[in-house]
Amino acid sequence: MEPVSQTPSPSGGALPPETFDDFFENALSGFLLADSDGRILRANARFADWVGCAADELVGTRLADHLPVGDKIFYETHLAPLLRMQGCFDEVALEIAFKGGKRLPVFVNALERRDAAGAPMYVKFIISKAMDRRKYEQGLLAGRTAALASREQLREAVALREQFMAILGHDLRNPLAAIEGGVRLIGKTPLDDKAKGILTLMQQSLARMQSIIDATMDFARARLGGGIAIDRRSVLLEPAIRHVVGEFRIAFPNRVINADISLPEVVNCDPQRVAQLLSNLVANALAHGAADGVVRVRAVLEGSEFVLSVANPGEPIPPEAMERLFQPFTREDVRPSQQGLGLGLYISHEIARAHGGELRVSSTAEETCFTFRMPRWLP
Amino acid sequence: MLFAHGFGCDQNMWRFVAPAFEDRYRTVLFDNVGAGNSNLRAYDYRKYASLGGYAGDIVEIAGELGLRDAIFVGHSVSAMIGIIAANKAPGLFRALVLVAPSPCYIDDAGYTGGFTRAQIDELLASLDSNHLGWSASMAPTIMGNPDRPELGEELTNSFCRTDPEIAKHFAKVTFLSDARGILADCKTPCLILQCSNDAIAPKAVGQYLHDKLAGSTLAVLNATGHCPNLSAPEETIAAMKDFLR
Repeated sequence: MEPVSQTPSPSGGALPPETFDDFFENALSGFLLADSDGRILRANARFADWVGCAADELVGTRLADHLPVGDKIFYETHLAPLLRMQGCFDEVALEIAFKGGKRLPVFVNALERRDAAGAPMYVKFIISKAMDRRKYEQGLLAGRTAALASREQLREAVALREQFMAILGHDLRNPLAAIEGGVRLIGKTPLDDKAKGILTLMQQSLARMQSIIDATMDFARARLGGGIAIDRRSVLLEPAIRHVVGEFRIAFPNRVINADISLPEVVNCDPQRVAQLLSNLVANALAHGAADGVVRVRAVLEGSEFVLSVANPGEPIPPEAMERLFQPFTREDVRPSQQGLGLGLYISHEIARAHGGELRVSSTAEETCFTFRMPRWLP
Repeated sequence: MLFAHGFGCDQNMWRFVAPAFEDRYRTVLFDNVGAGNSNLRAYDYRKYASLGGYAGDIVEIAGELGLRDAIFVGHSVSAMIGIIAANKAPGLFRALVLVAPSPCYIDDAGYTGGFTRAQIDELLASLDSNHLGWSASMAPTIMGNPDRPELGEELTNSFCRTDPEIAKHFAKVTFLSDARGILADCKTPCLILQCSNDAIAPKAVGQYLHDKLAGSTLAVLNATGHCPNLSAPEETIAAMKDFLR
């Protein structure tokens, strides 16, 4: 073979000439020259070394013969056709089967040499070791598999928990209704004042239990069913809003609740849900705001929107709490008097969403204000 | 003439053979669902858990195109899919060309499939361990890397693409399939193109098919490997033309 170069060495004498023969034979990669059928014509020392035999024993065999069965099938069904179709393949990861059963992970590329008519004459394979790369990739794959499994487990656990909540809420309703019925019946019998007082307390507790179950069911339905269910119709909202405000005024006779209500035209919404939202906001305002603060309810129409806001003076909501405010099970602070689940704002937020609207909060030293906006009509 | 590619490929594998028949036939080529440019999202793991799922697609394509008395040309496992389709819909095909076919890849009592059960298990295990050889070469976009657009630019091996999970599934279905039972029901004339040195569909398999398919013709090609339609197209075309005369 022709010598390739003849450059002076650093020490001053002539370097031995580099030849293509030496380049082919003594390389870190395996080189194979094969005929158009893939039969090896010449293999270099590196490849022969990997396979564990002499280079001339490889002549007449095929690359596929030195692959484990999985890779052999992959070669015959995918790589060999690819080579014929596009004249090459590149960046393919395979394993060479050593004598003695060991495997060497490698990267392979192949290039056909074709004649003027495009018919294949030779195929050149370059095979490089990929041990480190393979270890790295396996580490990544294992990590990804573990992460996916963990995510799946988590998803299942969450779904199970929410199903449980739905079932629990549902199953509690019957005994609760029975107790309510029983209390009502007892109330119709002759009772002394003490007994009447006890029944009243029982009814209040039952009402609270009912609202906890309702909140639980709403929550479960929102999470599992993709949103709070609402029943829309076109209504004048003023009566419903006045009713809610009235109830709170009776329940909290020592507090001042101002109501600025101007709703001369219909709004397309679920009035019970809007009342529920207002009720949550007013209850929060009374509980969390300044103990003697005036709670201001405002319900108006602004252009195409229905706007409902509840404001109260008091300590501003800290910024960290603001982020989590509308998430389920957060309570700004848990006070002994509070018996709720921490779902009120979450459910209100879902009600707003179900109406195609939004619930926003602003909180300064002067006042905290929750504002619900929604389009008056269906889009 | 309807061409059905086999495992590992797509319709491009017919590029040297189909044109030779365009003067005499209306040639129809398609990608299996899950291969080539098909809609990978349409791959239903339950439907394609058996070859019958693919056979249903063939019947559906033929129905859509109004094919009757057509020639079916199927490679490898698609040869069996064609037989299933022909059994399902008599009159659909008047002849079946089976290119490197095999009804069962695993050796059995009195049957040489070419692979032992242990070897097929090894194949399936290497698929399960997500051997990168399969996923790198076959994935259209294995990462989808928006912040490294140069990685997505030129697909290195642009033919015969599929999704690696689908490839795994199709490989399992193919190499664990056993279609020997349907051969007796086949009433359509068949041409078996057997390669002389095919590790996947060895000569014993071609002979077996010839024995079981009544009225079949066995043509042993000089071509080696598993895809004579690519490695020896002229020989393949000649054998087909000879049969279809």
